[in-house]
Amino acid sequence: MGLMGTCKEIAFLFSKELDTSLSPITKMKMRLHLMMCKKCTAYKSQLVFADTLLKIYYKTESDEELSFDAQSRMQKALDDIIEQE
Amino acid sequence: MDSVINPSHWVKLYGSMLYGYTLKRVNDREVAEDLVQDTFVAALRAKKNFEERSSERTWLFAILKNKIIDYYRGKGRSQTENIDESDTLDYLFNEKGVWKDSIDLWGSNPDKQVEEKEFSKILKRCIGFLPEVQQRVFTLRDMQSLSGEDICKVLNISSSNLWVLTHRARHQLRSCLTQNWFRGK
Repeated sequence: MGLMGTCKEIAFLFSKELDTSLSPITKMKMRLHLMMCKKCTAYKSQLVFADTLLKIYYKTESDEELSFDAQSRMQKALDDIIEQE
Repeated sequence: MDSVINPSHWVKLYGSMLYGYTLKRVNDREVAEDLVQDTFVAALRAKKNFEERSSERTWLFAILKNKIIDYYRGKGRSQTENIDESDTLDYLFNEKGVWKDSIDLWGSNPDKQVEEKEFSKILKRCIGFLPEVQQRVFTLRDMQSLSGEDICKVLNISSSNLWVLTHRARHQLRSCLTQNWFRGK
């Protein structure tokens, strides 16, 4: 990778930066590239936005309830074990 | 300590709570039901180990969380084999590695964005389009709060596999939201 890297190289690093820490040299290359590239600046902001949406989505619990049939089946399985004891 | 737990009432008291938690993580009703049942059975068999310092509910959730991790671990190898690390996003760039198309800014407040009902539906649909293995990575990261290193261990993948998967997922989600929401705004 050259001093500033290409958009293609830098795009992958934006995502990698969300998962792990990058070396100071790599960070400097990214900063240099961002100073010169509006498209990469917008892409980085979209990736961070998308990653935050993933976090929000996966942290919201489902409120779907267990069906009556499943509850009955589980209750029977537990009752059987309790009876055996 | 048996006196403070009451297995006869577990299904009624905690069944739906544990099921909702599991369903979001495994995305399969049948599997979620099986894991909840396995949790109850395992808890019942281990009730002598129950310690009063945690509540019955906390104890059941702890068992369930381990069951979910075991489920992922079991599926890990079969579904993450041969992750192709070659760059599938080549088409976005010209021969010099520069973006072909323009890229718009989306704003800076994803929390406010998800409050829009219609957007939330599209987000759910777009996440549903992600390949299962990519969804699993984010489930482990955001719902089970595992570190990258632990995710790699559970799914039996390398750290470079992980970065490729997360990059593709973020990129695909970005493309789906661009097409189905932001482009029309």
